[in-house]
Amino acid sequence: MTEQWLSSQLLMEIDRTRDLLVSLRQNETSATLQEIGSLAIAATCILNTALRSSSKQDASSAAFIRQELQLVHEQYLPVLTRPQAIRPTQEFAGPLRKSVRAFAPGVVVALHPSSSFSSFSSQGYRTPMLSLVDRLLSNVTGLHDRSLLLGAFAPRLQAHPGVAIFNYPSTEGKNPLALAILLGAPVGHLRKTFSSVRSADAADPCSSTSAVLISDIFAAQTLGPAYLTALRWQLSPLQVSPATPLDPLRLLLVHEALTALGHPAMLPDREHACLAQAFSQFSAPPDKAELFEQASRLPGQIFSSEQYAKEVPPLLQLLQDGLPPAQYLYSDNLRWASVPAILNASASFANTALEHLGCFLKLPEDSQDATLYAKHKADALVLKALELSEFGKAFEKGDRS
Amino acid sequence: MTRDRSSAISDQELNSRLNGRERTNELTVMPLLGHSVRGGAVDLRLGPRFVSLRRTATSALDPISVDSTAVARMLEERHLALGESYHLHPGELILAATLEYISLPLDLAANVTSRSSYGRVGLVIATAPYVHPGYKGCLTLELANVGSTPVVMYSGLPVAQLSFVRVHTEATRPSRYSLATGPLFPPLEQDADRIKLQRLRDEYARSVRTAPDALGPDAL
Repeated sequence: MTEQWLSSQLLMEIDRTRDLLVSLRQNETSATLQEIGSLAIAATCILNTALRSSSKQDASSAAFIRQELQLVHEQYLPVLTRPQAIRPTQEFAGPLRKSVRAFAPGVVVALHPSSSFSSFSSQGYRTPMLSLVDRLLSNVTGLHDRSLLLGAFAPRLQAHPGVAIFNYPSTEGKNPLALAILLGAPVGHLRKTFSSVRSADAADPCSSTSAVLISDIFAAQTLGPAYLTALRWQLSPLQVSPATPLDPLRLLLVHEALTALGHPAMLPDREHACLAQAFSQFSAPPDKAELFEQASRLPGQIFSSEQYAKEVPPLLQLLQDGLPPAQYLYSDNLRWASVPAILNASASFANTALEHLGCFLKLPEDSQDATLYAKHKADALVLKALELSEFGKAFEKGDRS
Repeated sequence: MTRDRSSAISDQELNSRLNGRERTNELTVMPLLGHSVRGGAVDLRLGPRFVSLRRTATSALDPISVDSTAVARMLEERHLALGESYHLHPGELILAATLEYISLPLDLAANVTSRSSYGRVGLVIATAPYVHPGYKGCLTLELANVGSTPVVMYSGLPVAQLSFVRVHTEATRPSRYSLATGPLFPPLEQDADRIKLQRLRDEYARSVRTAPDALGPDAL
């Protein structure tokens, strides 16, 4: 590959980026699109710099930049100017936004329900994409000094803090457990990428595997038993394979984190034994104490067993009576339920009390269709509770201010 | 079930029933935000989800032979984020749902009506206002702009109100809209009289085809 060819390729990419910019400006309808325009400008800056320092150009950087621009064309724009065909679950957006902004203030959270045949596997929940600037920063450090790049991009990052796009299988868009999964490992991945990209210091030393495990422990501590239910549903503990020892380790750690907080053991003995056996195949097990230590340093509110006992039973009662578990009575005052409490009421209801709703709806007993219908109704009530809780808290905050 | 429209419930009784300690199996309106209870009625707010009807190539919507694929093509679901707006244009109809989830006991029925301040700008709220005792769920509102100026809609806008009347009923079957959490397009294909009406329509069509002269010269 000659340098001349490379330069012509890069020039072509610059032209494409400019075209994209022009088309974006013509169709500019929202702040999010403006941001994409700004990211495209950033891409152009990088390309210009790369062109000037011709000695440092190589085929891989050209391929990377081309790939990033393709990403803008093919993935960001369709998500942000979303077609109506697949609508994201807006009830997931509030809790995810709150979770992401704890470590990445101002970042725009977008949801992308993707077509997936493997709704129960991790495949549908791909690592969240960060904005183009972050992706460029994390990959072009070979070409540029890190602190110089961060300095150059600082005003732009302040004006447009970025977009994080969460993927999940569209088939699970109405399932509250999908929210619990998104709040776990995907948010953890994002936290790791964000801290390693935006920090001027050395990159985050923690590996991707550790990032997943730390975020699992953290999610178990902040979401309670609902996270284990979600993970069991996603990973199918009785089908774990020695080829993927990470899955049993994730489940075992989450179980351990929950029992340490006083939540009752939720893994049946048979599953526990199965997982322990699969875990024994792990050639280099990570240091558990270190993982727990790192999880404890993350900012977040622990969902203790005492809180579970206080908040979840009244919400469960509401679900049994066909009402959204959004508010509960405590010391004669109505309180908005927290996201972990709603998710735990949902998980517990699906496991133990679905027949109550079937009874209210006068559905036939012992029918799989009836159970599925009752589950569908219960999930809808839980999503309504998330909507009401978010709206009610925002409304009351407005009252106070 | 008997309805006694004269026995609307008072403000005092409404407050006491809404704010009682036991929220289940009683009258529930969730959430009760701000000054929602006044004049013996509860304000109802616009929820974030609604369904608009697109113009498509479908020539007409025939309620007795519903083409569910064509209907699905016509419907467009939307979800307003907090603070996001939607312009309801003159002549436009959308199905929205109340933000409030309500649960009626067996001794109360309810009526949904527009709030007059919105009616005066051309917004018509509900054309099927009666809510049966024992109903649980959000209420679907048919919002139409019959004025000449677009009206901007936001989630949380208190566009309607719910008043209550005492009824005497022993038990109800759950309605097909039970536990609704968003606006629902009617399942027209499940209408009990649909088959009978189809048969009458087919008979009429046959009679016109086979004996046009019987209708007299004016029929042509």
